Amino acid sequence: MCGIAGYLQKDPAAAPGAAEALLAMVRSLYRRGPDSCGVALYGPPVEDGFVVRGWYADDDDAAAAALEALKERWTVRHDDRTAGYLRVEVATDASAAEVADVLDRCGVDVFSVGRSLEIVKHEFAAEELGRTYGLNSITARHGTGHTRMATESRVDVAHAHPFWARPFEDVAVVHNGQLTNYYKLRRLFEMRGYRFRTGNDTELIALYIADRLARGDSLNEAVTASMRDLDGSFTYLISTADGFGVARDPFASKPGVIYEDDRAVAVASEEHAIEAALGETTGTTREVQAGEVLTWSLDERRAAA
Amino acid sequence: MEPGRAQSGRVSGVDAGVTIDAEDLDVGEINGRLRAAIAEGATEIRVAHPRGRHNLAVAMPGDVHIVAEGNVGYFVGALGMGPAVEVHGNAGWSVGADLMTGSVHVHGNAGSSVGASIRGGRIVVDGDVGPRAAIALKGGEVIVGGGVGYMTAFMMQAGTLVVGGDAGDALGDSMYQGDIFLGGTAKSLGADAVQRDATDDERARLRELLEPLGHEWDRPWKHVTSAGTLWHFEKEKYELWKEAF
Repeated sequence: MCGIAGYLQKDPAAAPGAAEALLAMVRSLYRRGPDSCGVALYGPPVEDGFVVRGWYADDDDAAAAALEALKERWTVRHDDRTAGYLRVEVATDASAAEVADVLDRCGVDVFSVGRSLEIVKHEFAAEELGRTYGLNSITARHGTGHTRMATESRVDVAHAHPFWARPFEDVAVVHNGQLTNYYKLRRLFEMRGYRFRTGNDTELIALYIADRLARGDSLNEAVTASMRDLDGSFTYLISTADGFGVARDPFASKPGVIYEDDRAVAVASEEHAIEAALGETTGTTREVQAGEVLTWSLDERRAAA
Repeated sequence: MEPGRAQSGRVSGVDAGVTIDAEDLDVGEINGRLRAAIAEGATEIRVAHPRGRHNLAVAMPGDVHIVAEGNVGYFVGALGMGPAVEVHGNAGWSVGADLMTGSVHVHGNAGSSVGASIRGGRIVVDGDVGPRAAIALKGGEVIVGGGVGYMTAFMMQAGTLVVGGDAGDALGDSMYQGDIFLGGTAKSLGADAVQRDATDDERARLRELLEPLGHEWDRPWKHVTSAGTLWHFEKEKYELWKEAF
């Protein structure tokens, strides 16, 4: 199964922030997948650099070496180590790829690099994830969340969702389903020089969309194109610094509902997650239709239908 | 009232009914209390704060009115054997799946597979629904006030489906028998499904069916059914079969 959630706060006075809303949604969906859970949150942007989230598990030497290596090259504004995660704000002109490579070489698994994206995931329940990493202190207006029941690829922290579209800053994806043409597409991306960090097919969706965005597609165009190229069962949510989009496969194999009112936009595998985030709902909840693509942005609210 | 506690009484000569506050109950407890209340003779049971729970009021017996006061999850009223289940909110997948008798009425929207495989009774959704409504219908009535999604009434075998709005792709694909009435337009018809304008008799029947529900009945109704060309395999029609598969 797996449970997915997307959230965009329209009215900060009337709706909860993305961290609180998404943790509530993921908690509500936990029956759809107890293996692991995670969130992708878009906090206040670092204008002249990146916020980096890396996983060092219990290898303190790796974390220390990574921090040292970053400090040698650039200015590290903040750094924090909590329960296996290294979080760093670094001022730099370098690309997200260069920053990620530095952490790689020190043995830290990079989960996200972006102006505002932070991916935090673990084999925890949502409450513990939020509490352990103080996620409610991240002021975010939008993001995605996931709770996983693994159907392919292993169960560990790195294979949990969301996935960062490395090396593209600020792009992340959560997914419920399976891609049947994963290996074929993966080979095509590898031939173009992309490296895959895990054996999870979801990583490919992130890369597919980010690659198209980098080549000039709008989010809506990129997600629409994925309907032609991705084969399998999926409802997935793709997020950028500007908003997020949802896509459901042409056979509508996996669930997904959309809710929108003046306060917020919420997308989830099941409706109770939306109530968990927003309480009593007065707007309309409806299913994402077979083959439907929808995107929202912070500015225009809905970019295009 | 103590939360979650079923209470009943009589007011002015009718059963005042029972209210079950679902807030702190799991679905097993809610359905257990529903069964107990029905066994005690309740005729009106309200479920407060359903909060999108799955499997509410599944396989309930008896002549009883069960009202969910909010959104519900998957399989609401499924396998029903008599009750009239009403939902003041939206519902998830498989509303009233495998219903035998009785009814399920959702006043909001619903998800995929509404009325899957029902044998009798009636399912009504006032709003829009997802794909695969009335799939493998074996009897009874499924009435959708709004639109339906992809593959609606796939392999329908008997009964009636009424769709007030538009339908997605492949409406009535590989249906055996039964009647579909469509008030809007279908994006496409499925394999072996054929469409014609509804007759005056059929329009009269639709009016009788829809007026009491408060659904718009005066629409340019189409009747969709099986052409019967896939009932028996014929080698010389191989191309037709290839297409259907």
